[in-house]
Amino acid sequence: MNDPDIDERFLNLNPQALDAIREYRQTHKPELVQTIVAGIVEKYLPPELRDKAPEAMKSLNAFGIESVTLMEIILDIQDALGLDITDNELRGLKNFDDATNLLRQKVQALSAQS
Amino acid sequence: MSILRRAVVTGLGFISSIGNSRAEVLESLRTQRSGIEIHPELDRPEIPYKLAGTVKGFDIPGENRDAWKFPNGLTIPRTVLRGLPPHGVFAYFAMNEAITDANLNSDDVSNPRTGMMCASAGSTRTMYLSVDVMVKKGIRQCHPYGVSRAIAGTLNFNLVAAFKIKGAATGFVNACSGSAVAFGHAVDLVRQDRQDVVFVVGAEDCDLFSILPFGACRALTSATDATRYPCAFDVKRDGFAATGGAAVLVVEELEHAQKRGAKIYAEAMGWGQSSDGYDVLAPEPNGEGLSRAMNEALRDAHVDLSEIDYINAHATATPLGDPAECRGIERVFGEKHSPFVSTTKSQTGHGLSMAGALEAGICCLAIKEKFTPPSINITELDPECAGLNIVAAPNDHAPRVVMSNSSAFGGSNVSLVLREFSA
Repeated sequence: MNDPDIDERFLNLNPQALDAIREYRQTHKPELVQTIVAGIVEKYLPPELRDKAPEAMKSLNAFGIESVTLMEIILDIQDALGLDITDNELRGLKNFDDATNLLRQKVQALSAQS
Repeated sequence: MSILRRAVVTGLGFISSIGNSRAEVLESLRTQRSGIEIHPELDRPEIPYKLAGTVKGFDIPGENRDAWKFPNGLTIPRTVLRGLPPHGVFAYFAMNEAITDANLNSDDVSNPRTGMMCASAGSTRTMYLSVDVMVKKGIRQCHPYGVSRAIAGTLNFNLVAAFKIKGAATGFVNACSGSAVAFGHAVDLVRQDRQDVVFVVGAEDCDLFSILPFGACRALTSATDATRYPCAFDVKRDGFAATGGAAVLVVEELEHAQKRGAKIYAEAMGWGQSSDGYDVLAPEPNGEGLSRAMNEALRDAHVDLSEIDYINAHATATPLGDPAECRGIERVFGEKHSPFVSTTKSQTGHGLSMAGALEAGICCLAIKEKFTPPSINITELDPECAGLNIVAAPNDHAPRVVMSNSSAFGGSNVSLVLREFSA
């Protein structure tokens, strides 16, 4: 089901990632994190490099992702998942795969609490 | 004898209520086409002020720049757009037009001898939305450009980076005389051999947040008929209609311009600045402060008052401001000379920090294209303004020497003098 707030907030995100965000908002399933993070990273790649998203996940600054773009990606991820990444956690990340693992753990921890 | 170098205007760019290009602005001025209409964001029953000089063709909702839409196929690279407030978008496009108009190449633009003087009030909407996220969601949910997008200075932060400006860059925060001050400083930088080219950029947002706060000063027109209001110098005037957009002028050293074979709109002869020393909001009622700015501009320009053909007045259509300016003009010119006087704000709206640059650009067009823009919407001239030679109808008089006035909060007055170029 479409959620106008999600559609408006995450314009230009691929449909799979949008669906994953919608489902995550309902279920908080950790396995959706990968699709969401990959979709958001893909959105910030130059159009000609969009199919390189899996490779971009192995770095934080490949394919033109400089520091401000990295922060924009983190903001989108935080908003999509309703989570906060602290400065210390951010400094410990070497690539987006690391970020995905960290976020999955955070989601699992949240699920365990609730 | 002056040893100062000479400064000329060699390029113009506009995004405005009366057109999103130099050609559209000129056509609107020639035909008195008003840029005023009921602003969609003000068209609500609880809002008592509806009219504004809307910037047409732009759809800039919220802070999600993925949703922003621009007219005529205009685009901005994502890494530039993410830093810009709405008026930064207007300024970016006006800069591109001015650079093209002046036929400057990338080395001319990105050069230690090329600077940029800017003026805007910052972006109230951008600040509001950014701070709203901070308060409701926390600072780590805020965009890293939240501050630099919003505060006064955002124009120079962003445009210097976007256009790789290497020379002097400053933002002026004098409110409604801000970009006139910017123009004056640009002229000084060129005359004093500190820069060869200086971009003058005036810009403002054009939304609820940039316009409606002036309603608290009771300075906005409460009329809804855009065919009759705002009406500076008229007895029925009841306040101004605000506008936004951007105006850019290329101020260049004469020999530098001539070596490039650049076209010259006008020579920037000089400028004057003064303060009323009177009140935060209200103008000094006798125009004494503004008259000092005008006299200083004439002295700096080495122009006799008898040479002034046309004054583009500040006149915003407020009950107090228009007669104060008229008295100031009478103080300077008295019985000795009676130049044509008009305000283009009845047509464009009041551009706030942008007004000085917009009107300097309009004066350049009037000089180059040989016409005197009228004050529209005058049906009954206020007797307090009747001592001046106010132009209320289209006029083909070709002005050679033009004065442009600006006044602002705090009684900040600026007067510019421009002249038809002759070697």
